[in-house]
Amino acid sequence: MNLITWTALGIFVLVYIIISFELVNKTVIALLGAMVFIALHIIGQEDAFQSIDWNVIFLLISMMVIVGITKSTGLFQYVAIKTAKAAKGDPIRILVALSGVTALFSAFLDNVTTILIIAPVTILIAVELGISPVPFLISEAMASNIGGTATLIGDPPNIMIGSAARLDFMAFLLNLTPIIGIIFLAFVGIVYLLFRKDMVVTTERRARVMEFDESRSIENPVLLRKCLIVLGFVILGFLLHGMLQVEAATISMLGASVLLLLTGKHEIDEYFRDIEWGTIFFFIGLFILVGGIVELGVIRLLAQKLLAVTQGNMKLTAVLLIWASGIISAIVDNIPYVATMIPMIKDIASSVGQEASFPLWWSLALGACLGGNGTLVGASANVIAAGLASKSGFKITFLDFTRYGVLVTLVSLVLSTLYVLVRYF
Amino acid sequence: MKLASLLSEETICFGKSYSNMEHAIRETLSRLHKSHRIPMPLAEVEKAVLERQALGGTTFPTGIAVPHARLQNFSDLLIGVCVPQTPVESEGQQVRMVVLMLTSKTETTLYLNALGSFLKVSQDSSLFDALCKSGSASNFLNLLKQAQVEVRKEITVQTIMATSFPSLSRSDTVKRAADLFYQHSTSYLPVLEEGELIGELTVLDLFRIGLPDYVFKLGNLKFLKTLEPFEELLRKEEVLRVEEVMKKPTLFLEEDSSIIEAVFKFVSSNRRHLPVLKGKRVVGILSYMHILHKVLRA
Repeated sequence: MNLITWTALGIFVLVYIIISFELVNKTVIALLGAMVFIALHIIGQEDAFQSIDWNVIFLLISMMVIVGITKSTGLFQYVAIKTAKAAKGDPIRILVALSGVTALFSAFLDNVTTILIIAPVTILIAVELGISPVPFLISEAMASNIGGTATLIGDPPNIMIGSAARLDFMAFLLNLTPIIGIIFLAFVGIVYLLFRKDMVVTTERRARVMEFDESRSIENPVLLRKCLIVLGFVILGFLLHGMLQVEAATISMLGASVLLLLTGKHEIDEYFRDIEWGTIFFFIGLFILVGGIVELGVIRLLAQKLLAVTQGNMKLTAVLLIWASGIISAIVDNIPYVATMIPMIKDIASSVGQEASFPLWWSLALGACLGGNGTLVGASANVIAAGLASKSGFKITFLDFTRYGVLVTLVSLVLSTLYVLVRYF
Repeated sequence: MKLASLLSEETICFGKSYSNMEHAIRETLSRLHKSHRIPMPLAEVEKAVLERQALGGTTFPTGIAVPHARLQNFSDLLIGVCVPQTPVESEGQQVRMVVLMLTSKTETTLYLNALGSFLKVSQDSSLFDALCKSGSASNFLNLLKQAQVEVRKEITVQTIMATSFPSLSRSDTVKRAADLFYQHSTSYLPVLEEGELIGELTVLDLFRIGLPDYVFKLGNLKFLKTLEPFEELLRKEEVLRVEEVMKKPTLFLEEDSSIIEAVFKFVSSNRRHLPVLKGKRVVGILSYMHILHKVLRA
């Protein structure tokens, strides 16, 4: 490796350290690192733009627009309250049911978005029940990370993997959704056992929750109908996009455009405010950084090292990938990690063949997404849930979360390993 | 500019008796109309003044009344003064001096400042008393000149702010704050420590105690009839201290801040009250209603 490679690697590692410890805003440092890469000719201007995965960018933007508009109708709040009432105001049942709703929402929405929707109404329900919302929020953050793993659009790592490995929505549904179903059941068992004893409330308190009139939380029934129709078509489109040979990004951007048209508003800036531009530019910066590292052959070198360690044994590589991804993702942001691993697995695929490398993609997705549950800082959803709790006067410390998180992650990774071994080898 | 320079002897009238305020206004007005060129028939001017008079708010507890009107196609400030032999009753006050002002539809600064100067004169009881007893127009003007009563060129917030206002200290309870809001029909209270502004509390801040952060992340609260934290607020208002819930002061005006600066701050910050500071001390509170009452509808 020459000087320029060492320089690039130095910058890359520095940027990742800064992102992991949140020393500076992660979007700013990713963009800065990317621009330094271009300025130092580590990656050419054209190649830098080429390395941005526009499928990921468009899918993220369009889903943010669709969710933003749907959110304004009160739909998600309606579902959450309806769920709490269906659980008859019984706290442990509410906890399980809301975790289920969270996992389901999260399979189709971004995890952070799901938590931003579910957590406030959950805190409200817990406070009205007169118990701490902390067990609810911890469970929901974990449920969102688990549910998000189930589909192509559930979690950014999956979006990146799907686009890079040309795996369609259906492939994710067939390969990841079954094991996520099993993991979710195990997770429900764990939270039931852990939190059951804290869940004692009076009849009067239950009655307060049963008094909620969820039908009044729907703000704009006309818009809601339009949202449901568009969401229905988008999900149908996702299921068929492989067959139609259209990228998921195109399906969702089509849905977003149609929904924007249906809102009938001339000014659309209001809806574009729901786009998290910080996240979008974080991805752009990251893609360029990883593009630069790939260009220099560093990733290829690492892939060869990994294969040398596992001696080309795919079974061992897959297991190693699940556990390494799980542990690393519990500590650092899984998005930059996956962004780096993608070219590595592509490289392995080019030497061992597409077919043989297929399980590796699922191993990466399972490890990286589920590992987020390992610690409080493992996933953005955890941090957001803790943030919302603390602003409302309820503290979730690193240890509060992590003592449950480690257990759930261990069980998830063991189940994932068994699944990958049984299904693919 | 001297206040006396805005007056002339022929429009100052002494020693007559009036049956009521309207009578005093008509007399003063006809004197003004005779001595100055007003491009409107007397009856119309009278109508304008009496209509404004009917809205109330022109009589002050110091014993001065300032009936006035803004006239179409008129670009001057005319002031007529009348000191009745015996005080005239108006809006429940005994009026010792009537100062009638006619101004244009648009002019505000000079008019308001002249008004402010007359109010200031009326607050200085020895000067006011001397003026009322001066007996003639020329004595009246001489006294005013000697007292060097000035009319400021610009209006500033100190002309229209409230100089007496309720306030809190950091150790007061939230209950006391709620009581003060209620008793003074205000929605803003400064928190003072030795006269210096250390915090602020509004009625909305009080409500905010009962609405935790998560509530604002919910799209709406239509599905709720009660909210536990809001009920709790009522239970703990005697325990909570003002310092736990007050906000750090961020926006303020200074005594010589212009009206437009105040208006800009009200609109851009969406606030209803601003503290007026002199150094670090609070010398007044300006409400947006002061702007409405004393500038737009003065």
